[in-house]
Amino acid sequence: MSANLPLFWQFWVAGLTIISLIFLAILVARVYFPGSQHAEEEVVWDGDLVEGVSPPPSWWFWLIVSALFFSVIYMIFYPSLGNYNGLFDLTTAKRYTESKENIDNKYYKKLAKLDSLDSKSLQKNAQAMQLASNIFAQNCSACHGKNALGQNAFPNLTDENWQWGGANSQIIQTITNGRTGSMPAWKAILGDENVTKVAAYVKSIKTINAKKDKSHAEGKAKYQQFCIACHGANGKGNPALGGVDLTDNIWRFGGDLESIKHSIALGRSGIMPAQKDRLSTLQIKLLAAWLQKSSQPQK
Amino acid sequence: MDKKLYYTDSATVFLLICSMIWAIIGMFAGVYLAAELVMPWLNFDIAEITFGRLRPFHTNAVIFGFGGSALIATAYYSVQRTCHARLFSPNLAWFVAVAWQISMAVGLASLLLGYTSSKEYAEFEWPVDIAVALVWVSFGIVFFGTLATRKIRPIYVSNWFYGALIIVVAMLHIVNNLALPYSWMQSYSVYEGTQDAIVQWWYGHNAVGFFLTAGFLGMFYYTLPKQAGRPIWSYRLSVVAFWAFVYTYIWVGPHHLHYTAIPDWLMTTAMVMSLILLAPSWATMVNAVMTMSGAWGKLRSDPGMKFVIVSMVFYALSTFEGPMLAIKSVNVISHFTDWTVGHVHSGALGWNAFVTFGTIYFLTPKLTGVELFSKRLANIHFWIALIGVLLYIIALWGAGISQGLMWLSLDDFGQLKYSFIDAMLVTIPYHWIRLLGGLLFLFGTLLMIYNLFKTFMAGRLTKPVLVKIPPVHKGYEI
Amino acid sequence: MLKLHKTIESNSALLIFGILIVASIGGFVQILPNLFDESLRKGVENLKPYTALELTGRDIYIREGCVGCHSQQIRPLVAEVMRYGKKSVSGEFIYDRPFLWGSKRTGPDLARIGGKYSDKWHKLHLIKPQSVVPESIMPAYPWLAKTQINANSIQAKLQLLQKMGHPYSDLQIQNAKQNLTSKTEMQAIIAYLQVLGTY
Repeated sequence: MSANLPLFWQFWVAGLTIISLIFLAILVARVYFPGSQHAEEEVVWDGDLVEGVSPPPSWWFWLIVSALFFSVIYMIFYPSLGNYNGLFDLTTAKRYTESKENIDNKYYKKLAKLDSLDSKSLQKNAQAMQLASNIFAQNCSACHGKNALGQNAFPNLTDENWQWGGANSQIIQTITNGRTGSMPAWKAILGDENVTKVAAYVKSIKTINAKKDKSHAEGKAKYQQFCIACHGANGKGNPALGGVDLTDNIWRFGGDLESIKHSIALGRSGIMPAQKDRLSTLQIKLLAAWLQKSSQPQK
Repeated sequence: MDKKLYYTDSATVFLLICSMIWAIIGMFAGVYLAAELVMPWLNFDIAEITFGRLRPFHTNAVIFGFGGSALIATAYYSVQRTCHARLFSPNLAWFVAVAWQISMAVGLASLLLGYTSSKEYAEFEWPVDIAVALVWVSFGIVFFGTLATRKIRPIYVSNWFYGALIIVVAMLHIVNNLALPYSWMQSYSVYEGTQDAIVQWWYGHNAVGFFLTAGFLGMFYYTLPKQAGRPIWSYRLSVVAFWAFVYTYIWVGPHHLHYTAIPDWLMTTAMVMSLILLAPSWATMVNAVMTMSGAWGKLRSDPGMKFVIVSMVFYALSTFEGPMLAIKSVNVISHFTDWTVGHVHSGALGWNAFVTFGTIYFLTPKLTGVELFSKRLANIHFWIALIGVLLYIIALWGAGISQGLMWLSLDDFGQLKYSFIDAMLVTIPYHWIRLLGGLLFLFGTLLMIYNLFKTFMAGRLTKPVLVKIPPVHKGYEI
Repeated sequence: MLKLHKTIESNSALLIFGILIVASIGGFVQILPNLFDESLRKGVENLKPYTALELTGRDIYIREGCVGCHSQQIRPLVAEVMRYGKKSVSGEFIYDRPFLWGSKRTGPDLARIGGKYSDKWHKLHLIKPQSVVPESIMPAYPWLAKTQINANSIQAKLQLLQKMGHPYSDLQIQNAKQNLTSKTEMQAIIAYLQVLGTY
């Protein structure tokens, strides 16, 4: 950044720097050219410790002189001495802007071309997919795992299940603005017994509904009272609200009875942080296309 | 017997022993840290030995425990000889020797317990800082007191460097550690954000400059000519190098903050001063090489001298590499990478530790009155340590440069080519080599300690060494 | 000059004085004037001082030596800004005592980590980093989740910072201890991480 020193301190910085550098130069010159009256002494310390009288080598003189010379030139061209920004205003801020522009210009055409493609065409473009997979590895894999396979409770993005919808626009929306999924805790409302019943119903909701099985009537009743708003009457879920599909075989928090009971009793939550400040719209577009492509029904 | 007619070396012996103990503790911690990087399970979920807490323990133990004790020891030894005077207040000298160890022990333990101000190489919290400051001032009184009561008029060059060490480190330590306490072991810095960074690296780089360089140059300027039995080559070069060194070094700190949020002009002055600094640094190297010319034969018979001469090679290397890393366009790649760590170790192991080992091999026979237990073992130590340090720095060149380039690489679309993990995985083989290098170096140090232990045990059987203060040559009395 | 030097090297007081003067110049130029450069201390817009919980988290971050491996400083380099977010500026750090810019990136930069991951991720990651990043070489910090915050010094901390000019209200200081009750160190450090770079 550029400095903003008060005038007094500006003179202080410039003055002390210049004067002290001149003193250094004088010191070097006077030691190298001591004049005629200089006589070397032969002092002996500690038995045999003597300072030698050899003249200092001339290459060393040129070494420090050229370093000083370079320094002065460099300080003229670059920001130095307080508020002075150098002959060509080569501040780090300006140089950053310039190199950013250079890079933007260099890749502008390539990126604009990608940007003009729709998600179907992007999916067919091997280079674009490679790029997207790199972006995923750099930005998303810490949660969603390598190759988007999911880990812990962070969802697998390669299955057919999309909590917030698998359409291209829905995925873009999810990445851009993030999602806050929140399943409330039902223990206080339902009581332990009903939690177990609902859980049992939910566990086999697909088969029960298909066979019109009556064995889970109580659980089903409670389900229809409390759960359908998000998960739908048939358990198919509701992407608009983030209500997950309970009829597939994908259970982020575990599909055994105990885990389902835990989910119902104590609730679950999951946050997908918004990425709009971190990723460009093109990057998000690429990710969405890539994710759609990798998302396949499970065998 | 009038004690005043003799030098006093008991505190020196004590400090050298302590220095060796810290060397083992500090270097072992370093090796353990290197191992944690390749085998993270070595953290064992134990707070006190996780990387974050152990790292400042390692740096402080080697710099201030090992380095500091060795510096005080050799300063005591050489200032007496070069002043033809007994140490000023041997009691105070002993106080310094013991209080330094206590401060280090307390400080290092507190770091493991999580009490840290987090400023690099100044991590000790305020009570330890105050103790260190008091001990350091006492050290100054002993040293300058001896200078003031010297019998020979001119002050020898090694004492200029030790003097700069004491004065400047006191100044740096006090200014950088200014903090207001909120509890008996914790505090907040009086400087905020950017200013704190500027003050810290003014301190940080000059802890290297004056503690690890000026001090060890003092050690070197006494040891080498004594070992070689030849005069320091050029007095005039020493003069110009010394003052250029003291003047220039203090400016270079902000090169640790290139491209950060500090004002641009600080980076520029730090960069140009870093380049100028090459000259005074290499002046000492020239002085060393020219002092040796004609005495190269002694290298074969004196393992201590091998260490001192090779220390100069590493000094030349590090003081060349330093200015290069201070150039902004190089720093873009090297900053935040292992390259910096390698650079520090080429200085700390190759230069500081080597010159200390050489000096200790030189002093031990003089302090014990018996020959070194085994020259052969010392030679083996030399080669093991040399291979160790070379493996270490070459590995970290590889790791640092790969890492630095990968972080900045763009692909065909102008997007980041590598993830952070990609760049980290590349360093792992290098980190194994670095661990091996560190292990070798530690093993060499253990050989040395065994060698010294045997020598001291043999020395105990003979009479204590008493050296009478020799008279000063005519014309140079004070 | 050499004659002058003969005088200096024959007089220990002059030598001390000379070293002190010559070694002070750099600091007088590089440090002193910056105490008067107001642009260094002007906070960026919307920057708030750390809450009691965030400050506690910051002190845990300091205690565990996180700064040894993680920087908090994004340099104005194109690739770096792409990786970590917009470049760091001085005004972001005015409530940082000490500064935590770091000097080594064994792990990634954290200057703008706030909001990048969910709290849950941070918790899993701190308890066992390899559970979310299998290649990670970061140590595990399971004790943070098991340790209650020690709130004894929080008021002293805030009062001290208030004295140094951080805009805390007396009410905030009064309630500080209460705000930390029954919270774990894990919650504190996550609160700190989540606020980094968000303003």
